Order: sequence, then structure tokens, then C-alpha cells
Amino acid sequence: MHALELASMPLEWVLGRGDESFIVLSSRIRLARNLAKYPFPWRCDRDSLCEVEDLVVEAVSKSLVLRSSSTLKLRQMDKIARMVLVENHLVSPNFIRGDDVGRAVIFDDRGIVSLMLNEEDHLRIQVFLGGLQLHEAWHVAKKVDGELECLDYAFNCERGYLSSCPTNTGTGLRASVMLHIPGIVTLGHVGHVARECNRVGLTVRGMYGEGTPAGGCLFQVSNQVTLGLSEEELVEKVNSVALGIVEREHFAREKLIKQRGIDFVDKIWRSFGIVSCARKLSVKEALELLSKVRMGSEMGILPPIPKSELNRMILNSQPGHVIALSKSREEEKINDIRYIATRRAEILRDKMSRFLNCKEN
Amino acid sequence: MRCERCNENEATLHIKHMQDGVISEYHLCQKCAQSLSNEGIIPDIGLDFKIGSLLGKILSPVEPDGIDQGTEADKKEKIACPNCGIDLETFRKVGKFGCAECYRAFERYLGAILRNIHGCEVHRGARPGIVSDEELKDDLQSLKTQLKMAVEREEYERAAELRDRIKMLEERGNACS
Repeated sequence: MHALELASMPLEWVLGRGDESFIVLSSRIRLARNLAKYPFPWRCDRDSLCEVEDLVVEAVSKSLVLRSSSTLKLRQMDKIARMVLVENHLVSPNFIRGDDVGRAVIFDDRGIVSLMLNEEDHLRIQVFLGGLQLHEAWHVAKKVDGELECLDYAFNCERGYLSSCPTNTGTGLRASVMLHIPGIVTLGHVGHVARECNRVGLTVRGMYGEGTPAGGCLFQVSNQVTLGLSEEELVEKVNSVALGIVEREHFAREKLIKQRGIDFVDKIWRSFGIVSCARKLSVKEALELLSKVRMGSEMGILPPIPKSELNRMILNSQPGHVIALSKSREEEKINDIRYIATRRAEILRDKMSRFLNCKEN
Repeated sequence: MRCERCNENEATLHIKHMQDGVISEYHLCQKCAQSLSNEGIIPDIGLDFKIGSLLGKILSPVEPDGIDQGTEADKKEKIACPNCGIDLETFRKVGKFGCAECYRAFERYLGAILRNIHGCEVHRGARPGIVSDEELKDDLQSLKTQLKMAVEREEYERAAELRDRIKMLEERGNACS
């Protein structure tokens, strides 16, 4: 599968189905699993890593949930395709950085279920859905997990699923939601929300997880601990905190419009204007502008823009997508910032042109 | 450029803040920016937002559970995994176990490690459907043997901890069956 196919593949979460999908972009469940008979990936030799890969691929061939899935081996993928995989949330940024041996990703045609092989653990099962659908995502993850149990997981009744890093031991479950909270950010309350999340055992991170920057007011909230609570309890905890943040975001937006009135509305329209006309945009600027456009559209300040289009614009602003979607998909373009910025502006102008002549609310 | 507040550290943050049409510029180090942010002089820009990996710190002070901790030489000899060869020092440095067997090899340290990270040490979630009751019984038996030994050695703290673990595992067994 080439970078262009990956960049154009239909992704379920992009459609923006699910509850609260204006503010909650996506819900994700991840399970960390290892095969009992093999050392964890970082201690595995090349042959063992390949054996693990073969065993998982074989088990997947019998899976009903993953009956129409694609398997991509990391060593066969170029740099651009790797970037697009990360941007599509099918693999983690760490997955493409390490050694290629035994690393593969298996995913269905809508990017709902993806399996990452031989990253930190032998197997990472991920389910990715749009909006706030954590319980639904957990339900799917449980099903896939059950189908792959024949792999003889490393499990101990007292400690649960055994993972390479003890921070994942127990359920091996990470439930996370991606939130778009420009109101909270503008009011300067992000630090406060992050501290509150920490207090109840949740972590706040950037858009692509651990160590990634939080551009465009997009943040990931996930559970910190994986042991001592049941999967349902962990999922519910993240779910209820996400609902609390959504409520606070609505409140922040109301406050902004009341306090700042025309200044606030003007900023939103200016952002709409820049995205629609700019000839060069950095990823940071694009995400910031799109954030305002999204908020403006949701608040009825701008013409209505479908959630699927707003999500697609965020995705297509990422560098891998920009190069993959351009005519010259050359690897050397990865470092050509001016080229990428120009192409990004072109992609966004094209998307926005459809909404330029819409009637103002 | 030096931090304009403490005049000691390098100014790594350059903040432009506009309020009521007046632009104020600040060139600050991380520490001063944090304290000015706490005081509300500059807006909250999420300085306390990056949650770095504290795993090394969490793992380093870990001591084995129980009273009889043995000598330093004892510790080093006892705690290498017979399956993958990882020793406690490597684990502390890397923050990762080498294989599933490490969980048994570092059993006496594991409780403290897991408590530090998760605030508890016993799994309460799902288990694979194919984990047999026999395996659950084996785990219980092993804990009961350790409890007996701890009582004989008068390691009461360890015995109390083992008793709790046995109780939780028995409850889980009842819930799962």
C-alpha cells in the first residue's frame, strides 16, 4: 500500500460519528499483550521477532473482526508512508522509529481496528472510533482480544496481562479521547484542567500521544494506571472526565462570546479568511486557524462545515499527508518546509472554497 | 539571553501578552515563568503540562517487600531473571522487564514497583478465557507457601501483605468462576 492510498483511505473517526463529536474528535482503546513463550520485543532476537510476527498474522487470518484487513511490514514502507501511518493514528510515533525487524501493522479498511506488532510489546490492539465512543471501542477491543487469545498471552492471575513496561501491567488498557478545547485554552484554563485530570489519575498529552506537542488546541486525555481497576471502570473514568471537559468547553465558549463579543467573532472570521486565501501555511498555523474555524462553525458564527470535512482538514494538514497528496511524492520533500507549507495552503484553500459562498449565519 | 526576572538562568521562554490593547513582552526561564504564571501575572500557558517520564525515579528507591532484605551481595545474586538474564540494575535503568518470567524473578520487588506506579498490585480486570482454574489454584498455592514461610521467619509485615493478596485472588477466583 502506497503513501497516497494510506493518505486517502477512509477513516471511520474522520466521519465524526458518535456523541459530542464536535469537541471529542475520537475515542481510542489500546490493549498491550505479549506472547508468553517469547522474551519481550526489546530482548528478542531477529528470528524470534519474525516468529512472533508470523504467529500473530496467522491468528489474525482466523479472526472474524479482521477478516478484511491489510498487513503492512514496516521494512517495506518508505518514509512518507510511515509518516502517514502515524498521522492516521494506525501506529505510534515510536513504532516507525525503531528497528524494522518483525514490525508490522494490521488494520481494517476503515482504520477502526489496528494491531501493532513488536513495538514495546509483541501486540498492541487498538480500536479507534469518532466522537465519544469509548464503551463501544472497548466492546470491539474485547472481541478482537478474545479472537487472538489463542496466541497464549503472558498472563498471571494476580498481576494480569504482563507487559514489557510495568506501567502497562494488569489490564494493559489505555483509554483515551482526543479533545478540541479552544475555549478552555483561550481562557487560559488548560493548566487547571490538566491538574484536575492528574488528580483523578488521568494524563493529558498532545495530539499524537506521549511527548507530542498539543497543536490546534487538541489534547489527548487518558488513564494513567492500568492495574487495580477493571477495564470497564477505567473506560468509565475517562468517559466521565471527557464529558466534564466537554461541559466546561461549552461554558468557556459562552463566556468568550459574552466577554469579547465582536473581537472574538472577528478573530474567527479572520481565521476563516486566512485558511481560505493563504498561499503558505505551517502545520502549527494551519492547526491554530482550523481550530478557530471549527469553533466558529460549531457556534454558528461561520457557515456550517461538516465534521468530516473539518477532521479531514486537520489530517491533511499533517506533513506526511501533504507530501503524499502532492504530485511529487518524493522523500527529499520531507525537509522542504517551503514546499510543504505551500502545498498545505493549496490543499486547505481547495477544501475551504466549497464553504466560501455559503450564506452567513 | 538571561532571564529578566532572576537574571541567572537562560531565558528559554519568550512570551508576548496583550491585555487591553497593551502588549507586554517577557523573556523568562522555565522556573520564573511558572511562578509568574501561578501569580497570574502572565497567562497560564501550560508550563506544567508536560508530564515527563518519571519512571526511573519511581523505580529507583524500590526495596524488596518484607523485613529480611539480605545483604547487597545477596540481592545482586538473587535477582537476575533465569530466563532472559535481566538483572534488577538493568531493569531500573531501562524501566522494562525482559520477559514474562521476570515477573516471577523479581517477585519480591514487584509489589513495591506496582504500588508505586498504580497504587495497588493486584489485577482486577479480565483474564483470558483459556486461563484455567488450575493456573489460578497454582498461583494461590504458591502464595500460601510463601505465607507459611513468612510466618515461620516471623516476617509479619510480609505475611500480612501476602494474606491480602491471597484474599484478593480468592475473591477474583469466585467472581470469575
